[in-house]
Amino acid sequence: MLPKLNDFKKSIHGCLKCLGCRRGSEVAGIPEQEKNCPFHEYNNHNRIFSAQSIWATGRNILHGDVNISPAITDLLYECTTCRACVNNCILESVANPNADTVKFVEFLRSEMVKKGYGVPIHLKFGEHIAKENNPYMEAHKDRWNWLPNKEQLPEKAEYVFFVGCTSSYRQTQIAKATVNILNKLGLDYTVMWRPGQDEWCCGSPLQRTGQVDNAKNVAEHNIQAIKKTGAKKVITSCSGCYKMISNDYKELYDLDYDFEVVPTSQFLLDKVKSGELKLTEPVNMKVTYHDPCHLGRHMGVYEPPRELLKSIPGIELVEMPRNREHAWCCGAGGGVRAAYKDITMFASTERIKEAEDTGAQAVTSSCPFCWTGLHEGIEENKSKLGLYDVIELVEKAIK
Amino acid sequence: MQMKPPVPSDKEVIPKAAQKELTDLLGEKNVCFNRDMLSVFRCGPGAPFPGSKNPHGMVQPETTEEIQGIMKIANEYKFPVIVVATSGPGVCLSGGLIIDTYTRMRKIHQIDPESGYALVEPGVTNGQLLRALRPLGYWISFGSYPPYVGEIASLVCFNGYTNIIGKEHHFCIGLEVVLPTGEIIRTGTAALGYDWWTQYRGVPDLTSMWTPSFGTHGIITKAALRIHPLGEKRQIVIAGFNDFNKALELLNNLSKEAMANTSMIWSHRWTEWENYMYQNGKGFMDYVNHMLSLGPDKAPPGYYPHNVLASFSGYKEQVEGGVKTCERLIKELGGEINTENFKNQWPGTWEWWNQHFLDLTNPGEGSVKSQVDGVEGTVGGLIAETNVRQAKEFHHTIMEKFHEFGIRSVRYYIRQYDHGRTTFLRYLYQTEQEDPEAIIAGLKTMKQIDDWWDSKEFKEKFPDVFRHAPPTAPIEASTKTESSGGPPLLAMPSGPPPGEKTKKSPYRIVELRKKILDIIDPNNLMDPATKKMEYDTWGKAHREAK
Repeated sequence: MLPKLNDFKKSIHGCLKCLGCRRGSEVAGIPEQEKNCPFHEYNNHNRIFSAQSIWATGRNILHGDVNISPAITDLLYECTTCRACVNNCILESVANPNADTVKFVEFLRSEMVKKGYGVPIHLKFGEHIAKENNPYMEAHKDRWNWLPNKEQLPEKAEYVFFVGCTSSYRQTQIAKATVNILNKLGLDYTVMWRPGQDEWCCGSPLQRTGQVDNAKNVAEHNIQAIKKTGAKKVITSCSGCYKMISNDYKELYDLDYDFEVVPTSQFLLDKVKSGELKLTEPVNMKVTYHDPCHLGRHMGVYEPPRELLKSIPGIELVEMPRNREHAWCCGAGGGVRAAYKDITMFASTERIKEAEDTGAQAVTSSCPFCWTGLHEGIEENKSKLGLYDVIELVEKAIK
Repeated sequence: MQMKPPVPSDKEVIPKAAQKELTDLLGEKNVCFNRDMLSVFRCGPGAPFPGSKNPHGMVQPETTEEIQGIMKIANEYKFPVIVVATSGPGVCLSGGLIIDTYTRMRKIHQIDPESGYALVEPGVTNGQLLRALRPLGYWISFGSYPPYVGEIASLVCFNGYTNIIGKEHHFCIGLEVVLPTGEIIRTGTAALGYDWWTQYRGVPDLTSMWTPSFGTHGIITKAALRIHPLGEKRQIVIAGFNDFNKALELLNNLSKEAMANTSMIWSHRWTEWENYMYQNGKGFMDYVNHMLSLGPDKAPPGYYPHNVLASFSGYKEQVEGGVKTCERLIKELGGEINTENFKNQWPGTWEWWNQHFLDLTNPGEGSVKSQVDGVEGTVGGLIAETNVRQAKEFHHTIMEKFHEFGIRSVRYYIRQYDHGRTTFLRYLYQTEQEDPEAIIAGLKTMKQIDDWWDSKEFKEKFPDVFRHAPPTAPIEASTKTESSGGPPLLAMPSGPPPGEKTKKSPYRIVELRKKILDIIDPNNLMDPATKKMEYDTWGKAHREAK
């Protein structure tokens, strides 16, 4: 169920103002790094831009001292909702599992939108999603341009591959790699291209930016579309889609379904372990892995992509100092890339430099949107780092 | 000339022209005048503070010169300033300009192991300084907040938290301070143009006058802090006691004989034992029933209500001797060496100490866990100091009073300093409420405690207990006297004849402070609300709560 202000009362009053939310990496035992929160660091380490400040603002709103207004736009919308603050919050981690800053940010953003104060560019892609089912200002009919022979896939199948907008319109190489691997495995799978059971945006961009009513609409559509395929398992290579379908559809919109949702990395790892997928071609490369926020901190999936990488012959995996639950965000999520590009550039630059420092030849990830954010960091810094989704490397390792 | 203190309202407290000057001085990224986004600067850490207001602006200077520039502008436009520290006090009761001295002032200027000090800016964290000191084989006192958030500024406020390297041994040995007028002064040897090696020279020691909190006399821009060698052997001993008096006796002995570097009683009672239930996988009602069967002063099986924590550092033989003596005293006093149990029972508290003092690789993580308890509802507290004669009785009385006032959850720590002559008592209690109405009810409870404290009964019973608390009578916002014609700096009200016991000290620091402020803060920028100490304003706000 979508939360209400009163649901956060305990957390609002419980914040200790300890600032763990913005200096979590030291808590993680990485003393050289104190950076934890992208929008906090981007804003000059300014306490105003921190999870602590968001709770303090919430308290003011609760007490009627501050109104929902454009005055707090920057505070609410510069947050990438990466959840690093939640990971390091004393209240959340130990005493009060409901002290989730990301949920609270999303709630406050939804209040902003209700009052007509949403960020214009977010509202614009929100409108486009309502018309064309994607936030990239592309036509719905072009969604499957990357898969010309889609008609060969069955109407009903055991598995359905939920591609997501970024892989469909931008990072199509990830979608193509996934399909190639599924084909090699000879699985009974399909994609949702048929009218009436067609894939729409998962709703994550809407939910993250406060457009919850629209988000629920697309969620309802996607659930029905997936049900029509008869699939028992939904595979997705996008971390945002994975979090949205597997968690938010049920938790926030009370939608009911009985299929399982798995990230592609987990799905393929299972296949490797069962011997169905053989990774035999060496990919001689030293790589480091960037944890997508939605897959890692939001959903707790840290090891499967790593194990999958390690199962590729020739791959040497080295970790960045901030990894797993302490990973630094790429800066693209939460609507920030659309509205505050500078923050994305700041965060991705930081991440790319961290990746370079490991001595890796390439940075890998498990999210097409992180791919986008990291790619921009590589371009901006003229970095020589290669960039791959884990799935792309798996594809290389298959004969 | 009489001047009224500036009383900020929602009107333009910091005029546009002043905002522009501040922006020009510090850069756009380092200022904020959006009131709605300044909630976070209403008050320092701890409980939400009713009565606090969003400030009218916030600036983040990086250098002493920038702070001088800010004060110049503040004097020109006559707006109040509130200097804040992350983990120190600082409540914005009446609006004004927040000067955030920790965000960008985070440089460690000098570490001089030979002279035994580090010169740091106020935003340096305990953890940051610890990391710089450890390769040199040095450390600093335990902070009032965990290493990763505790800024040095707050350590200076509270002067460290230890009995040997803490208060009486001068944790802070010198400061650089910007006065409200924009002038710079230094304290300790640095005041005379020397290096920073000691606090006292042939000038009055003014170190404690400058805190980065609301209503103070100046803004700390650098602090020279005493650093200590990490002993070749370090050890922590924890003693469990069922009897508070015995625990206090051990604490007193450890301090009196200067055996341990640091020592304190760490106590929990009533609902604090919830932790026990979590660890043992029981439900809340199991816990309630269990505690009801035991009574409020008892701990669950295997737990002690009072734990004395003592840290030892030095040469191997020295530490072993200290630990051996400590263990003998524990047994003689009927306690039990509880170190191993404590690690599992109170992992957060243990880790805070462990990571600051024993495990030198990872300051921080455990200290987060140490704040697990008491994070919901209205949190109130009492800080008191007394001579050792009154400590036990005061403690027992205050616990009875808390019970009487319906305060169910109390935790506290107590330490001795001044070689066991003085007892520092810090109680934290919760009223376990979360909505605004309940918070007000909680504040009323606090007021009951205030009133009891101010009562004749209390004063007669505990004439020597000093509470960091409001005065008995409200002090009106004072009118000003011109600094040139004002009272002499050190003129104080006359006290009782020498040798006569003071029932109520006439040397009220509030009065003295007002006189000093008249001279050094002619525009009353730093204490615009009531011209009283911070403790006073806190107390007043409590009283005025609905």
